[in-house]
Amino acid sequence: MRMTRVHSLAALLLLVVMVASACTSDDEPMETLPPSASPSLVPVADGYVYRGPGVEATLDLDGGTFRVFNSTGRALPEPGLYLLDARDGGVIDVVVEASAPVPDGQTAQFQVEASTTIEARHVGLVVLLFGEDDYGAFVPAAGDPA
Amino acid sequence: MRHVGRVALAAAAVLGAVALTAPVAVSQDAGSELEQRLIDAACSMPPLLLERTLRGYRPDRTGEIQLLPDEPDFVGHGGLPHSGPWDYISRVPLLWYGPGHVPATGPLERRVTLADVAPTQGELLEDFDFDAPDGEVLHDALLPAEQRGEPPSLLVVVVWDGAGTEVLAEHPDAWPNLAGLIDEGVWYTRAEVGSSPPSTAQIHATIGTGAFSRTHGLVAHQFRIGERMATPWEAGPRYLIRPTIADLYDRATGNRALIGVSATVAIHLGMVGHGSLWGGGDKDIVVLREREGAATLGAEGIRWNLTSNVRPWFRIPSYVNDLPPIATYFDPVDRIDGRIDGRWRDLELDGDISHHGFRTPARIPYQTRLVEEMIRREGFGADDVPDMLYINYKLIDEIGHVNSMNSVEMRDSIEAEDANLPVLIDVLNREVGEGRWVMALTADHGHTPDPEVTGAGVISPTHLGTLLRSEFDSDGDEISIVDTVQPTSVFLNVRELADEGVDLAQVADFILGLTKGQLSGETWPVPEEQRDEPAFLAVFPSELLDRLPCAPNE
Repeated sequence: MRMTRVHSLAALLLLVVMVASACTSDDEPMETLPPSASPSLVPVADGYVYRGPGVEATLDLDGGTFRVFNSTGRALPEPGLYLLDARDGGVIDVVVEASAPVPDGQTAQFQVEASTTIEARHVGLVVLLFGEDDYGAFVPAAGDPA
Repeated sequence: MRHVGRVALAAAAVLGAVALTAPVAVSQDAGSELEQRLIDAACSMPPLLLERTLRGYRPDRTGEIQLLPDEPDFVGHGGLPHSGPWDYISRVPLLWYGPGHVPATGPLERRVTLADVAPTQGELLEDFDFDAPDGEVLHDALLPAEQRGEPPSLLVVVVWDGAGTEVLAEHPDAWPNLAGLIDEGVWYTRAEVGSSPPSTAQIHATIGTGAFSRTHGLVAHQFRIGERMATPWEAGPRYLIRPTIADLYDRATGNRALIGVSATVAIHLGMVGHGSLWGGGDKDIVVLREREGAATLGAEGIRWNLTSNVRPWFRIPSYVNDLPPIATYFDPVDRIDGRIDGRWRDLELDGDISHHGFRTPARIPYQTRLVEEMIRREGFGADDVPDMLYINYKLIDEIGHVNSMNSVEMRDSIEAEDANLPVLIDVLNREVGEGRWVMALTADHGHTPDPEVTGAGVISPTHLGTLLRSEFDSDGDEISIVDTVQPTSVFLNVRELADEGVDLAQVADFILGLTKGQLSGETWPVPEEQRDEPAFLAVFPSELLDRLPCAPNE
């Protein structure tokens, strides 16, 4: 059975990948952009994907890789995650190592680990946070409507 | 890391420990005269109304400014809204009925909420524990376990959308069948939805999850996801951040249980939950009649369907549009006023305004015929694995918006839903078997009385937005400080507000000083004698809710 991977702190370095060429000011007005404005991050087959206006994210729970693309027109606060246990709805914290704000027009990649070991088949929902804001659930890549 | 889900499980912590998110914050200076005035305004709310408001508040999704008109005043324009913490919207009928499982107790005089529905259903299921975040098992709605025997084969929830306690009380002779069931089951005379604002999406989610809005996440029909405005089901079930009992129970049975919904629009789906989005879940049966791509959440189509936003997670049976058309049920509706003229009172039955009959009582037997077919063909209640079926009848809500709860059309609509009740019970007895099912019948909210009946001062959200822009939006750019004005809150562009050098306390204080005359709308002008009265009883930054000294302890 597949388990979420545990990573050593030493390996959990933030990797910011500069993807887009432009970076607009945080003070610029937010625009509601369609998901197609993103570079269409490709999730792993058994991973999760989040597509919303100006925000795209992928999560490979097995590999511990979490990527966020921001095209909202402003910086996004530090991303976070939590899981809901499919059996009872219990909340399972996920640590996003060295989480940091994601500038507009950029893709950031982080390493993650769940606070509790959980088998992938027992994950009910994976939920995306930016700072204090709950952005709602990812969808399994296999069922991605996009 | 702050964790919304964890906060949801620790209600007490919500009141004191949640960090604030708005870039513009009210002064933290406890001695601030302005802040103290706003706190006083918030604490002037009756405790029960404040409690309901707290249960519906999330700092990340709720509007920045709370509005509370003085009952019977309300914020609205066009169709009558139903949004606010007052009893007339919050109080709902709640009947539990199921011979062999539910005692014939009759009325019970105690306060319960719709968060109690799901855990009470869970108590009826064998070898399944459901830990509701905010609800409790209504033990007095159930026979003692040793007297119940086998679990019921089918659990049914019926929602008469919009049929709050005061709507029924306005037409006391229009629901004899429901009244006749009171002494055969358990009838909670002080049932309420539990949180405010009590619109359709959030209360259906409360029914399904056993959680209030602050916990399950669907706090209103418009709310924030990050800084943008969103609607509850625009992304399917992804903004619902607690599982429903159906999500958990279905999975616990290995998806052997049948889970189904007969309703009208996606905002009813909080009853059932996530379908196959929930890990290990399957596509539950959902039949709606929503207009694809509609601008409003309640827009209906004329064929049963699933819209594209929910289609990935649910399934719709192929036969649903092969049943008799709605015109089959026109004749008794045509005869209601004693004339055979192709009309329901003054409304042409097959016209555009009546939405080709779907805005008339004919839709009730039309939908029940579908429910019968679903039960029979899908096999609800047919085996030893208990199933769950959720039904929303939306006519009363529709008529409340368009004609008002005081209208003769409302009486007709209640009579239609009530006349349908024994038909549904006959279907259940015939298809599932007597003594093999349990029903909870309730409503998701009440309705606002006609202002001409109550003398309410109706506050225009449009005018409030205009006044706010005029007062605070002076930098000449094209960005408004106001995102939207809703009946219970104002969503502000806090970045733009900061550019203007204004904070939330100043905005709240400004609104608190407005009169009804300044905010009078066109549809229902404020009566002349009320024009100089304050428009609101309380206005304050929502973030104060987390630190009010008067906040009730739960």
